[in-house]
Amino acid sequence: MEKDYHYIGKALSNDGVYGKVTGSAEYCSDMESVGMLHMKCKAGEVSHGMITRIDSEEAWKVPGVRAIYTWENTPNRYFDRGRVSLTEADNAPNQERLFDRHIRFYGERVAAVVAESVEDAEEACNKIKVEYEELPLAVSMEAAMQPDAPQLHTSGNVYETQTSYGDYGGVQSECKYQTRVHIGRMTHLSMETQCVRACYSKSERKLTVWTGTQTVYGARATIAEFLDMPFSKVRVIKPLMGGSFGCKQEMILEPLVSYVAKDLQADVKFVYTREEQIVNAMLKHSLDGQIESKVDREGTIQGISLDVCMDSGAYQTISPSYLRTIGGKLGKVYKMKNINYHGRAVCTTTPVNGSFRSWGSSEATMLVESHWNYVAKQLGMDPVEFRLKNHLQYGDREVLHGASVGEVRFEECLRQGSERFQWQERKAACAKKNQKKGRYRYGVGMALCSHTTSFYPYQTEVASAAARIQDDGSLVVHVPIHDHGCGTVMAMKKIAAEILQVKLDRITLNEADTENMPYDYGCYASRTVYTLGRAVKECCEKLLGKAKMVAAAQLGCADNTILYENGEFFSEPNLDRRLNLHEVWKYSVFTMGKDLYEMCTTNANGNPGTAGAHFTQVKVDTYTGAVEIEHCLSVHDVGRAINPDMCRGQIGSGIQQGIGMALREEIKIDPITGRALITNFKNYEVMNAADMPDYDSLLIEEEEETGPFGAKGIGEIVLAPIAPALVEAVNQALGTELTTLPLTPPVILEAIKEVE
Amino acid sequence: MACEQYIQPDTLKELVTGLAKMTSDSVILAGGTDLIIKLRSRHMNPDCMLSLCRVPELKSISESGGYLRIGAMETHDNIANNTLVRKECKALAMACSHVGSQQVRNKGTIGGSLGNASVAGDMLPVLVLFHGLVEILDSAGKTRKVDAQEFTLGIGRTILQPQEVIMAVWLPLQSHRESCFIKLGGRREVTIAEISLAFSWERSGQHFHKIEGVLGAVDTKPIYLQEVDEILEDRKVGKYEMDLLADSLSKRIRAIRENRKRQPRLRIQECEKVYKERAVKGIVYDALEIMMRKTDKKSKNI
Repeated sequence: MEKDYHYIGKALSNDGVYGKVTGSAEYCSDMESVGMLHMKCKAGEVSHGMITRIDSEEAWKVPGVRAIYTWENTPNRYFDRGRVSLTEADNAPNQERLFDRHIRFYGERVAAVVAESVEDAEEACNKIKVEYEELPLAVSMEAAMQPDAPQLHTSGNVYETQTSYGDYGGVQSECKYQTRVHIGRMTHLSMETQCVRACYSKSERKLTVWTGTQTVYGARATIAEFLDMPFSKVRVIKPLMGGSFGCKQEMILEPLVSYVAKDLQADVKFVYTREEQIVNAMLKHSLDGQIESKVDREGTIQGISLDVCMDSGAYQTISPSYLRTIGGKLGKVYKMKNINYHGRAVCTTTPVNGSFRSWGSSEATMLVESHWNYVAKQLGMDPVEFRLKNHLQYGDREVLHGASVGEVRFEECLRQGSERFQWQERKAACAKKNQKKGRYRYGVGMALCSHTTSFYPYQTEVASAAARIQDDGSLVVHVPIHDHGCGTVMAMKKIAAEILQVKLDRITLNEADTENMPYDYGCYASRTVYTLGRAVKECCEKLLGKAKMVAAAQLGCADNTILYENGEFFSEPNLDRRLNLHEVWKYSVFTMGKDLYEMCTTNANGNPGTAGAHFTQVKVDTYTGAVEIEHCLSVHDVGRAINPDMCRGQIGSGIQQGIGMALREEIKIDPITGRALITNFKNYEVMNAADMPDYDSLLIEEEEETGPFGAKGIGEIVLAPIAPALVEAVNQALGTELTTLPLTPPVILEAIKEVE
Repeated sequence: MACEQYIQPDTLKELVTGLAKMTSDSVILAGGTDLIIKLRSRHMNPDCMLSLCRVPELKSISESGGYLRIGAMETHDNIANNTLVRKECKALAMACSHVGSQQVRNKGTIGGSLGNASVAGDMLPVLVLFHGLVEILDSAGKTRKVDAQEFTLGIGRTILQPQEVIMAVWLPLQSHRESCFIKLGGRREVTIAEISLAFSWERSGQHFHKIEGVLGAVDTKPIYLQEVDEILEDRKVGKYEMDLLADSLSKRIRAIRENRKRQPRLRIQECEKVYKERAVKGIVYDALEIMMRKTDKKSKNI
């Protein structure tokens, strides 16, 4: 199986690392220009109300203030922050304006000041006085669903969806199981907060926008439509991004900053503070789920029924789509003859919840996997055995979409993972240690999951790339990459380097720019390496083909006899006469009169599932409620790791984030006022390096036929199985049935008390 | 954040002159790990900022007249790694080694921590344990020493007047005594104390004498624990004693909670409200297990 590659599969550090480590890498917030203006927003001071008066008189007196925007002087036009493409206009309901008179959560922006410095803008914001007429609150989903609840939007507070396959209600089964799950709100914790720079050129009447977004084309469509400008007059460029985890995939600041730049015909920058990032971007949804299943006595799943209630916060934004996706993922891991899914996304007078890494997979996996762990326990079955009995096989069709799951390797993940983790041995050892009934209790837990590798079959999976040889034989690749900081640029370079045998530092590969790159949806669905990687690979192969034709002409031989090794063309038997890319380019351009470039578009009509399993062992302190992760293993079916080091990095980040979701992180909301009680990291103790386990990882590398060099996605699935595995390990250790996340020390001590 | 005047004295004499310019709207910069955040988040515009970073008298750790004198501008990291401190006042070294992050310990100072008077501060419980003194300098150039117990008045409030500054802390040298400090937080590193506990004792064989204990982070001021000596004095400490002490501290914490007018806003669920009184058992066990370990006083493992 092992092929002799030069770059693919080699553990190389990210080529952007030098700039990051030395602090010299330029992010959007680092950009400066002469005359650049800065923006700050004033946060509203009621949780629900109508603005009755805005007094900006004192604010205007602050030197350096150029403009003040409120609902009174901005367009009464709505936009969709969840847009991915022009054609997807109904992805999210258009509920947002730049500024609204109707304030729906505490901290919502009520005004913006544009000034010559951030400090001036901030001071002026503090001097704006706003009066409100307060409206009744609907802080909890329960309150917001009452018939007499205050309505946040004309379309009502609740979005409802229903999906089913088979006839769950009609399944006759002796064994019916029910569990409940609660997931808390989290913040994305990307190092870089939201930042947008928009510059309006008076001479060209054109807007250029820099934003660390996951979709330059989605951003352009939103901005151009909102400002009523042709696409030819709006250019969006993606600079370096300091992490997303989902928070850079929605149009939070792009419409506002673009509007202001155009209005003032200026260069304007707006950077969120951490407080704004937490309150005013979006959080991970909190949700309540009720899961019911019917399973026969041998442990074969007969059907599942799921009811989910998801808190959208003050605006629905992408929540309806997110909610549907949770339901849509129910048939992707196990053979399911009957599925029933009912979901509600509820608007409340609290900060907005939205896109988060794995887009429903971490939620669906938590809901379902904690349920299967419970069922296995009730049946007296080992959780690994239970899953081996029920998982999908290669090429099975998942019933909800009728699409093939491809060569997804659940069985390998389960078998190789449990063997490497020593699942049975650890389980027995924990049980033995717990017999002492000491201060510390031990438990193991596991979970299985899957994730997508592309948009197919929801959308055609199109991707394009262009590549050209430069006069010195170096390479330029144009591919609309949106690297989150996780190394997809490096992955593309490695693919190009492997095909064209060009050294990595002789490849230029810029990130997405609407003006000089082919179209792309953006970085979603863990699709970049699979889909765009394929475009780059095919493009480079075709370019190599062209170069071979030139070399054949130059060497005077048939083009199908040309060999290419270590960056040199030659033919047998004249092994001594060799041409490099520079010489071939020269001949091509100066003698044959043809430049050496290629552009190609691919259409990966496939969405091979990636499987993932997580195994973990915990030590619970029954005196303090603290949970220590003694050992854990993530197993992922990546097809082929283009860069194993970066895959391991992704796995670690998934584990870190999953631990947060399971045990630590929650942006608490005041149950009375609906205010976010945590707006910085002082009381938000994420897993840090000192507590992070020395995790193990195992990559199952069976090449995926349709992926570049066999590769599939890895970026999101790494999060999905962590929380349910951890929750199970804690429950095993304590003999509890906890499913209310996060399992913080107080929650754990309470549960211990109840068990006693 | 804007500041009208910035004073950075190089000598003690200049410091005294600078102090005279301070008003109730002025601030003292002693590392900045708390101050800068506070100024930014509260949009404070102090009339004057006085930096202590250049005054030599505020730095140095030395023995003087039966006391260990630690300059107010000594960083947490310096104190944690000072051999004299580790030998004589191990609890202080242990406390300093877990303040904030390494970056915070490199900049943050003991004087700054005391002046900030956070309820969850790790310095004051140790000072109270050692019956330490806080030396205060005023704008007339006079110094006075006050008992550590009396230094803090409440959350963020101390006895310091606008024209006063902490010069040093003084800890009585008691080489025959051992000590330890331990805190319970959400993380091992970079964590804010939910509860902290400091003990000092004399050892003879497997027994302890003249045991003193201080409980921190549960009330507006550290609590001197009278019952520690009653429960542990001259006994071979076992589960019974540990549970007895844990129970006593739990009751103290519950009483504090019940007497509070306003409950902490982040403790929403009932189990969060009672967490400290439940979890104190863990930290009592941890501290007593450290005590019972026959450790070499010069041990570097803290």
